[in-house]
Amino acid sequence: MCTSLGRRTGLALPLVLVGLIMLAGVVISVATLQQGAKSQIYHTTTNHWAFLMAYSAMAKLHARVYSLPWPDRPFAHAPYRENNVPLQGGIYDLFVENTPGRERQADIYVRTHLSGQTRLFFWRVAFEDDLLEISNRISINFFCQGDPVDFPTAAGPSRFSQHVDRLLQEREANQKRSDDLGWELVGLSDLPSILDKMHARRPRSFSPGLVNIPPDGVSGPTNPAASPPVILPPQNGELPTAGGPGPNPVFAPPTTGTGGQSSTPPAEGFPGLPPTSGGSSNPTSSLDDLMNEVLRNSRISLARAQEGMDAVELGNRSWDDPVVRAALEADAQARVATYRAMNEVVAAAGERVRNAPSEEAARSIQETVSATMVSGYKNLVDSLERKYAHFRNAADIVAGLSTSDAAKNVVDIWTRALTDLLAEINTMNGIMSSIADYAMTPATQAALAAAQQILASLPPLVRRAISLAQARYEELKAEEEARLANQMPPLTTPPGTTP
Amino acid sequence: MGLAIMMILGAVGVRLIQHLSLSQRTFSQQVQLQLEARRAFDQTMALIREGTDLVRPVLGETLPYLIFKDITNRVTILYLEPNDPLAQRLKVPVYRLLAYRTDYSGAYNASNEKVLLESVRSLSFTSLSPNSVQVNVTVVQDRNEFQFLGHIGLMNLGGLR
Repeated sequence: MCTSLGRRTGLALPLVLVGLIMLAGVVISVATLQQGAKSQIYHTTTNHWAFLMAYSAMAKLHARVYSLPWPDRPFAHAPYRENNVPLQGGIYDLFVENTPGRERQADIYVRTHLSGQTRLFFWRVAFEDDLLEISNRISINFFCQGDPVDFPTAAGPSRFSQHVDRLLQEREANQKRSDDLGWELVGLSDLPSILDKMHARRPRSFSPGLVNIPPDGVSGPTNPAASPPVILPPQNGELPTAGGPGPNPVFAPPTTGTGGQSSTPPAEGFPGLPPTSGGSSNPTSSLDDLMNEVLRNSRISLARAQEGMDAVELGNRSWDDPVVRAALEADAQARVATYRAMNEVVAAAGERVRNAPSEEAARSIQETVSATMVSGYKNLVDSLERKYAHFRNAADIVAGLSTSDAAKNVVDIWTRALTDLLAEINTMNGIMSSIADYAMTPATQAALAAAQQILASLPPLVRRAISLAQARYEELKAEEEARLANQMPPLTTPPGTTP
Repeated sequence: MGLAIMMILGAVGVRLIQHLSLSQRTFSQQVQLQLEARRAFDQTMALIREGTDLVRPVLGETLPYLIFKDITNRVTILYLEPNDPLAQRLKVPVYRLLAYRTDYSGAYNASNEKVLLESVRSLSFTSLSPNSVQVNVTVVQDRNEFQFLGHIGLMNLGGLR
């Protein structure tokens, strides 16, 4: 018995030991992997932390430069160094010198050591002495993250500083092109147009039926830009021509006039406000402001029209969808605002041209105004063209109609659309006719002709669609009448039945 | 009796090995995902931080793409492209994050395009001030998703004209 028990004990013990070792292995493996995952997240945090350390070092240097005259700066005659400075669990090294070959500029190198990682941050700053503006004396001309081996050990031009010079030259060379392209991109609202403008590759779509995804290849929330604040016209006493408080210096409280418009009667001793009619008639608005208003509103009109039509065509939303309705209503409002601004531009430009000191000046004003008006006109034409391009699919739409009532409804809607279109064309051409005798550059003339050609092509498109819908209506009507006639009971009542 | 104990312990051992293998695979995927995402996020932050000007989104706007001028004033866009193979495997929309930097040559140049991240679930950029952008990106792999949120300031605004 003792022998047998001893044999069993000898067998169980190694097995239990093996089991324990395996269990320990599992625990250690899992813990190690979890630690690895945490270290990855920690690494990202340290990357931010290293930047903040370097930025703090630079801020401390800025404080010293601010507190001293520029000739007494710490690095005036020799590089300024700090080594192994502890900060927030890491250390940093600082090297500052006058930028080789440049006046009132400094190169700042900060090398950070944090969690076993070494990083180099570089700033080139410019000092602009200004007695009247002391809050913005130092501006950052260049920042980049470099290789830690480029941390300098001696003053003077280095391979790294020469590399920075080259990058700055390249930046300067690209300045105008980037400004022009950036300005164009600000006015675009859809990603494909933006990619086309940048000559980038449009994203491929998901395979059909793979997942239910919008086909524009975009995932993420969107939110429109903030509107600029409304600046009210100056009150009586704030006008430059105000004579100061008179016998009755009390400002009259604003009274609400008809239509909700606020009107302030002029107080005694103060000049009256120029007559105003709505927010856009700001007395401080110059011709330039009005022209900007034309461009801004016309761009909004185009962007909203594109947004609404994209929602219909790409997002498969219905015309009654709130998103579509909101976009098209915003388009209509922007269009009306554009018309109003265009009329005001014409009025303001006429006065400016009449008062121009020379013929050349008058011609220059006319060319500027006509270029702006044509740009706004073209945006509005593009907006209309985007919306009415839908009529190119009229044949498909009409073929999908199955009842005469539906076809009649389409005929009515499209007829109203044609009426609206003709009214829009009439308004737009009426406004543009008022600058017909203005001087225009060849580019402006070409743009105007192209836009007019597009606009003229729209009514025939709609008329053709209406005729297709009308034909379909008549066809369906005839079919329904024939079907009804076949199903109608005989006029005579069979004998023995009660009618 | 001894044979029974050996069989039980053997079965336990096999289960432990299976569990170890599954755990390793799961954690390896997580680590790989986090490694890739961390590198991409660091790279993206460095790219934006070195920018000279923010083009889109404009102030207060949130967009699923970002346009800015890079360190040498080359207009750069970060945008998403559907990642078909991964979406097919995961049965959810998955995108890859692309960066394209124009060279003003007037034509597409493949060398200016770069894939920053392969497995993006959603992405948004919000402009909260004229010189900074908030980035919110969700990355996905198998059943795991995690999100980065960062506020990045452009550091090269000093040369802005």
